[in-house]
Amino acid sequence: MEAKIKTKVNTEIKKSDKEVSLPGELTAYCELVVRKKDGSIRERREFPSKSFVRQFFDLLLVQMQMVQELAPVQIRDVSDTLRDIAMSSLNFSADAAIGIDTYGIVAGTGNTAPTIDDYALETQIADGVAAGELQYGNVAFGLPASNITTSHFTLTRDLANNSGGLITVNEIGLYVLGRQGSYLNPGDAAITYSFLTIRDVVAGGINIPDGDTLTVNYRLQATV
Amino acid sequence: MKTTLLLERFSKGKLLERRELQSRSWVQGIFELLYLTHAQIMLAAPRSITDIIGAARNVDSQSADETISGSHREKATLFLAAPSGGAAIFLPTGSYSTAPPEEAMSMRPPHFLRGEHIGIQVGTDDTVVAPNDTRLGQKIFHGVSGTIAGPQVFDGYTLGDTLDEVIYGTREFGTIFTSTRGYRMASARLLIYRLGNPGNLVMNLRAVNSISSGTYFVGATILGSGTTDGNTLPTASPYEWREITLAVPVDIHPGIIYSLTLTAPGGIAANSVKWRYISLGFGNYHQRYGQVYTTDGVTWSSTLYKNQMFDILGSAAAELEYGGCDIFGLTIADPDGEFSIRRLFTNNSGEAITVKESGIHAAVTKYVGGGDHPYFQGQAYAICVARDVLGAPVVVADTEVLQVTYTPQITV
Repeated sequence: MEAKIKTKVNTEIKKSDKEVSLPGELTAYCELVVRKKDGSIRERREFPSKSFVRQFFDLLLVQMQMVQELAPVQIRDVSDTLRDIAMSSLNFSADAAIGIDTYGIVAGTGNTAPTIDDYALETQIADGVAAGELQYGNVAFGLPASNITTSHFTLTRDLANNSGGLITVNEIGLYVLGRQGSYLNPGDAAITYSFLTIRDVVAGGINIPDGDTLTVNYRLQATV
Repeated sequence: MKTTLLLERFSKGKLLERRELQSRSWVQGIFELLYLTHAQIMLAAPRSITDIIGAARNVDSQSADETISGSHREKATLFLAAPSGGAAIFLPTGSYSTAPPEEAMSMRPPHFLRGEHIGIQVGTDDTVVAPNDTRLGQKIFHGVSGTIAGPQVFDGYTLGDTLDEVIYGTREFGTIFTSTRGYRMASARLLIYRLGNPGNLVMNLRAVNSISSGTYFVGATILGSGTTDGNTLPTASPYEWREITLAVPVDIHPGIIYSLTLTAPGGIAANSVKWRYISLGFGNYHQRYGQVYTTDGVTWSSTLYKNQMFDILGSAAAELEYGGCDIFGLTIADPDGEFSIRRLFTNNSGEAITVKESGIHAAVTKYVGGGDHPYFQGQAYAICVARDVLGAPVVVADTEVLQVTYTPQITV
C-alpha cells in the first residue's frame, strides 16, 4: 500500500469572512473539508467551536502574568499529569511538523460532549498508515488579518487517510506546548508538555474514506 | 469567549456609579500575539505589528535555547499584569549575552516599558471601534497634571551649541529623545541656518526600533512630519530657532525612544541646511538625547555624545494615575470559566476627566541574536489587544477613582 501525505498545506480559507460569533466574542470557528484523491471536495462542514477549555485560560494567565520559573503554575497536560509551567517563548506552540501527533491540531474518535475540564481528546487518532490511523501533515497558519468587523487568524492541518479503511472522526482539538518552569542546568534541553486548549465534538462524525484527506481549519476570530 | 466590562466610580471608598456592559473589544492585536505564540515566529522572518504609538515593529517568538548559559527561554509575549503607571517593567525578550557581564543585557533600556504602557487603558475618544485599531483614540496618560494648554515646551536640548551638522539630499540628521511624561506634540523648534538655497525642509518624527552595541536604529514608520522653507533661513549666526509644525499633532508616550530628524531632499552640499549641535565629547552622554543620522537615506547610525539643538512644543490633557493591573479570580466550574483583569485610575489632576473609551495593551518583544557582546539585546513593545467605546461617558471628578474590570468568560 502506498502511503502519501502532502508536505505543504493549503492555508487558504475558502469561505469569505463569516460572522459566526456575537459582537465582542473571541471564538474559534471550525471548518472541516474532506477531499478525494483527485482534490475534489467530498464534504464540507462548518461550525462554531464551543470549546475553549481550562488549559487555554491557564496558559494565557501564565503569559499575562509572566509567571516565573521558581513559582510555576500547575497545569494538567494531555496525559492527565499536572506540570509546572512558567512564562516561555515556547508556550502555545502549535507549529507541529509532518508526522507529529503530539501537538497542533489533532483528531479523535471519541464523541463524549466536551467539558471545560477536558485535558485531552477522548480517543486520539495516532499518526500512521495502520488501521485506524491518519497521517498528520504539518500545521500551517493563516496570517492575522481583519475586515470591517472581524479580526482573525487560522490554524490548518491536513489529516490523510491511507489506512486502507474508513475512519470516522468524531472529535477535533488543539494541543499546544507549554514549557516546564525549570531549574535546569545550562545545556539541558527544554522540557515541554502538550496541553489541550480547544476540543470540539463533530456532530454525527465525519467520514474519511481511505485515500481521502481531512483538512481542519481552526479560525480564531473576534467581531467588534 | 465573551468578555464583560465593568466600570465603577468611587469617591472616598463610596460607590457612586456602576455600569456593566458587554465588551466588544478584541481587536487584531490579540490575534497577532496568539499567532506569534502558536506559529513560533522567528527572528529571521519576523511579524510586523503596529504598536501603540503607531510604529511598525518587527517582533517574534524566538528565544535563546537552553544551551546558552543563563537562558531560560523567558519571553514576555501577552504580558499585561502591569505595575502602577510610573513603574518600570522588565520584559524578557529571549535575548542573551555570552560575554561578561551577562546581566548587562537586562540593564538596557529597551527591555523596559512603563506600567502605563501595559494593561488596561482609558481614553477620551469615542470613535467607533474597528478590528484593526492599534491604539486608543486618545489615551489619557498616567500622572497628576491638569490640562496644559499649548503651546508649551515639553522637551528639548537648547544650550551650548558649537558645531553644525550639514544636511542635504539623503543626509538626514537629528536627535533621539525620550519624554518623562505624555503629551501631544504640535511642533518643534530647531536651531538652524542655511548655505545657499536648500529648498523645502522636512522634519520627521519616528520611533527607534532597536539598539545594538550603542547604535540606535531608527524605524521606517514616519509618525509625523512637517515642512518649512529652507530658503528663508538666515545664513549666519545667531541662526534661527525655526518652528516646524507637524501636519497632524502626535501623542508622545513617556519612556518610548523617538527620533526627530531633518532633511533637505532637494538640497546639495552647496545648497544645504545646517543644524547646530553640541559635542559633549566621547564617553559623555545625556540619557535621553543623542544624535542619529543617515547619509544614504537607508542605514541609520548614532553619535550619542552629540546633542542637536531643539525643543518640542505641544499640549497635554489632564492625567489619571494608573494603578497596577490585577489579574485575579480564575474560576473554572463546568461548563463555565472566567478570570478578571482590573485597574484603578485615580484622578488627582485637579479637574474632572471624561472617560469615553477603554482598552487593553499587552507586551510583545523582539529577539536579537546574542553573541559575545553584552550590548546585543532585544526590545519590548506594547500592542493594543482590545478597545471599547463606553457609550455614555464616565465623568471622573477630581479625587475620584475609576475602577475598570474586564472579565473574559468561556462556556463549553
